[in-house]
Amino acid sequence: MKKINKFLFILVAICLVTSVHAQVDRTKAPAAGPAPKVQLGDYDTFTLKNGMKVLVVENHNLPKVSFNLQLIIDPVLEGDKSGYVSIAGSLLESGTSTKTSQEIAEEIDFIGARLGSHSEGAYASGLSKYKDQILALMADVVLTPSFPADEFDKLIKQMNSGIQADKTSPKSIAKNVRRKVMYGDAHPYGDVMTEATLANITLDDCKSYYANYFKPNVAVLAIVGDITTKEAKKLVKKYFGKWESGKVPAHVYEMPAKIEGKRVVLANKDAAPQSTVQVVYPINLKKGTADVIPVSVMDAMLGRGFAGLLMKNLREDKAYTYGAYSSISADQLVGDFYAGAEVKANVTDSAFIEIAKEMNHIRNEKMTEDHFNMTKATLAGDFARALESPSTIASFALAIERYNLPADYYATYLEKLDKVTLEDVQAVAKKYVDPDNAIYLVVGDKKLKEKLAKLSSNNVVEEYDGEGQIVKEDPNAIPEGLTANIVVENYIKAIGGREKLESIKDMSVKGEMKMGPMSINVEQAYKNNKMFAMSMVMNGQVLQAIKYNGASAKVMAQGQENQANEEQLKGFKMQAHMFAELDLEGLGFSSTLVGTEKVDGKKTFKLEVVGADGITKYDFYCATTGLKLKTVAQQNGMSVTMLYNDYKDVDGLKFPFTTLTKMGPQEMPLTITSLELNKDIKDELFN
Amino acid sequence: MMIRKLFLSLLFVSIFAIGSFAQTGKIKFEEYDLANGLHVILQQDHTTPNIVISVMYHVGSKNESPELTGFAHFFEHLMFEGTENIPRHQYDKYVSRAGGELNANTSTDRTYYYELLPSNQLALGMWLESERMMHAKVEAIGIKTQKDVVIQEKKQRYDNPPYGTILPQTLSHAYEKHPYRWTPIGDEEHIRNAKDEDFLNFYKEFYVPNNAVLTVCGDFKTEEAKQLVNDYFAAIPKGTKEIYRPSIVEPVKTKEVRDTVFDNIQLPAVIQAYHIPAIGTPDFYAVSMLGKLLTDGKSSRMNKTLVEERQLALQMMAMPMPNEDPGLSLAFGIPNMGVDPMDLENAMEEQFSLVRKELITEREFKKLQNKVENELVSSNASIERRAENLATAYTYYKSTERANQELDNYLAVTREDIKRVANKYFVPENRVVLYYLPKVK
Repeated sequence: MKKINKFLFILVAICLVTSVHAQVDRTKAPAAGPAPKVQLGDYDTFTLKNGMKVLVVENHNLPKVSFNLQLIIDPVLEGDKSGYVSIAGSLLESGTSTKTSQEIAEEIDFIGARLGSHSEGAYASGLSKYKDQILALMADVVLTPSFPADEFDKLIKQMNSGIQADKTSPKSIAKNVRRKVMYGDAHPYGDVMTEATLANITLDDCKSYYANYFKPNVAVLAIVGDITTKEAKKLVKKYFGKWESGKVPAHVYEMPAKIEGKRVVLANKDAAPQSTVQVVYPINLKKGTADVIPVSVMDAMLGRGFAGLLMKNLREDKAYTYGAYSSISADQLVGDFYAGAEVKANVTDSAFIEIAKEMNHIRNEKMTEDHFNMTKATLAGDFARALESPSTIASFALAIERYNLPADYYATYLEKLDKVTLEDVQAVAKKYVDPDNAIYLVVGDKKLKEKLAKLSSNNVVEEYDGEGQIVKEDPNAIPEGLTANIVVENYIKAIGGREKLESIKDMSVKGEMKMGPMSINVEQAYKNNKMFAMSMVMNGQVLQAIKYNGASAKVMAQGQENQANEEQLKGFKMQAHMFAELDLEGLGFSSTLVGTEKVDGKKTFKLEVVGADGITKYDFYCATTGLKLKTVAQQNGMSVTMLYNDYKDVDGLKFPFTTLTKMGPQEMPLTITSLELNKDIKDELFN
Repeated sequence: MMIRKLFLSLLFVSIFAIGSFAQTGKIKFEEYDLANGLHVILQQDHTTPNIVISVMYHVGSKNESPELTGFAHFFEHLMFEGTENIPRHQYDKYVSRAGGELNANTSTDRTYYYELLPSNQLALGMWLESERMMHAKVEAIGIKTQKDVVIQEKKQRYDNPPYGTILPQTLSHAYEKHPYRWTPIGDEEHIRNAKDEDFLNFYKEFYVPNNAVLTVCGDFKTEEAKQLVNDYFAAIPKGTKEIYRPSIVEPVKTKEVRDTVFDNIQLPAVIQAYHIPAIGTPDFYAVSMLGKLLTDGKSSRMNKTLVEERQLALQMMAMPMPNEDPGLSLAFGIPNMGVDPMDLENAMEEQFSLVRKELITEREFKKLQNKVENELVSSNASIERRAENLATAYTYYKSTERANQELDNYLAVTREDIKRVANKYFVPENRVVLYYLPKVK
């Protein structure tokens, strides 16, 4: 038997020595006393002939004892049978060669104890006067499970119900998406249990999992509490001595790919009052390596509690959230970086920007000595406080076994923590904190999508469902409840609002249109939505001009002037409306929302607009900004497309300053050079 | 300010509010009052070089005005903002620099603030707690920020997660008059509209030494502790306002209250809430054992029949809420996929009716006693838990020693008592029944 000696350490307390203790001075924090000694408890260890390792932490403060059996095995990739490993684990306590599930439960409940089995072992605890009974039951469950079919069916049913109950939980949605996006299908950490994977699981899958992995030579049993090593040895031999050893499959997995660029990933939760925002990515950081302790200091400075940069910014400064945290975990297969919060829905994108800002902050700037020392002191305090519970020593011992750590890893923890420097912190921040190559994961309302696209390196928001599967969007999908009227109203809002538009009495526009090598000066004028004039001039020569005064019109073309006919007048009357969208119905138009389409990479809503004359045109309004981006109309039997670009503000209203007209092979860009509103245009101009 | 545990939101955790039992016997402590009315409890434990310093204020959401709810909890946030001598956002830094931790939590009946520190920082803990009792800064800038934070806390806890509104819905259906009809988090509008002055008045009324218990547990020397208590707390003036303690008695229920809530969930839930006596009363212990009989452990009655045998439910839970005034015992179930919630409710009712009709068996009774014993053994294991248990006993019963009598109180319950309380409280006319159903999209 190996006996680990006691280790004594001075708690490295960073004290504030400020005042002298004579008359109490309230204006200053009192001085600390001498730093206390922190003492790590002992543990014993022995190994059975079959290879099972046993750790014993004696502690007689309370009449309690606990047994924790842990298998040290590689994670198993479950794939399309995700969930079978944990079902196998739960089945152990659901019946043995001599007892039914209810008999086991009744025995353990009767003595007020707890027993639970899982895919990598079992746990039991209770009053020490029942230790023999508790360990006997635990051994029965671990060594002779009977895998009853009805218990299997029941578990499948409960797992299915559990999936349903969790379906709207933002936490569980985020977890599933994270697993799939960060680790993928080829890694066990990417396994997600769904109704579909549950349907693939058979009882035999569970039996063979047990047969393959539950072996004493890969098991460690940690015993804590009111028991002596001698008693423990006797009991463990009695109940686990006959457990037969065997070869256990090993698995190696490729390191998941590094995240390249900023990927914005969204899972929809309709009308969510908050968004779950997380910046996550896999990292290569293994337990026990030299970086782990400096990383824990850096992680705490970034996002632990109130001293953390994230909380300070997102909660105490901006009040976006109740709490913002980071966590960087080391793992033998693949570690992970996490920084996140639950935030007000309307600041979802800002929250991401602030999280990235703090990540850059710790990466690029040196933190203050005060913050650094404070963080180290807190971590040392955590360590000292954790030692109050005897199970802490057991978990240290178990970690040493499990991750092959040096035997004095925890005994020298405080020394190692003390040696970390501010430079070390910055070095590991540079190495592990990278907001430019990360997943920006949101669980929130889908309507945030367009806004979030800007955060992504490629302007794309990848949408996933609650099970972590990518959602293939129907390009013609129209959001529920959206109508043509709403699209038009949104457009009116986007260009300045109904009230402002209605206050416009007259408007004059000057521009230049290119037609191949030729350049044409175009002028238009409108008044009271009743009068309209336009002219097109090239090299001083009038190509075409129209003057419409609300009753009659002159049309000039190629040096000739004519009075407009009835047909033409009807057209001019319509054209005299500066903003026809204000009253489409009144003007005889009927419009219908017929689908969505991409215009220059932007999603738009497509409206079919039919005039009183029966002529159809299509208008395309941007789904994000509401602005009109394109019109497709018919002119003399030809299809004409107009693309509106470069919206600019004039007296609080927005106008497209360039319009590209496409007609057959021709492209005619029009650029506005001047646009004036309410300048009191004289009636003469229209006569 | 931190990870606040609103007591009532611990819906799925079995609650043993007060308890004590250790290998070495009872908890030994010393207690006394200062002239300003502050009650002091000192409890030594030299196992590790750590201490906990806490103050329990006898104010919870039930002391609030119905027009200004959420105040006690709001103070939990405000009390970290700063004091006359501690600048804004520095309060927690002192604790962090010392290697400590701090937090607070609020229930319907009391608010609890504490610091966990290395044993050489006893004076620091005294200074911090005395500062906020003496002159916390209740000022506009902190109030403004914390209003937004608290509203986000409400959304995160209650509005966004599935089944998150069960507790507020149950309470508002169960109480007409008593202030338990609102939850400690309060009403969003009340918080938003509250004036700075309202907060200041609340502070002056409730956060006074004569409404508080100071508890120190862990590795310290008694004489030194007493000296420090005197140095830091004796000068704090006694409160001058009359402390509001509601004497409102909820009318006896004569008719079942039944309602349906449509929520953003996939599986329905069935909730029953029965009116029961206050914590610490003999019947409360019997009610608590009845809860264990039904849902504590896989072999408990509801778990055995509804979850395991008939597979009607995914999960069942029954437990009393530890309220200072007469409270509620909740019974809660999520039906398995495809199970009609009404079938589950009928099956729950069968179980209650069985306890009303027949004495529980001797073996079941022994099992309940064993369970209680096992749980009480752990309930005082850490100085953190012990400090809270001692402070709670004094606050509710004005007897710290009650923390040592918990097991005796449970062991005084008989099989007949369990049947009697089943007939007295667990009857249809004394309950609220809520169905949570998925919202139709």
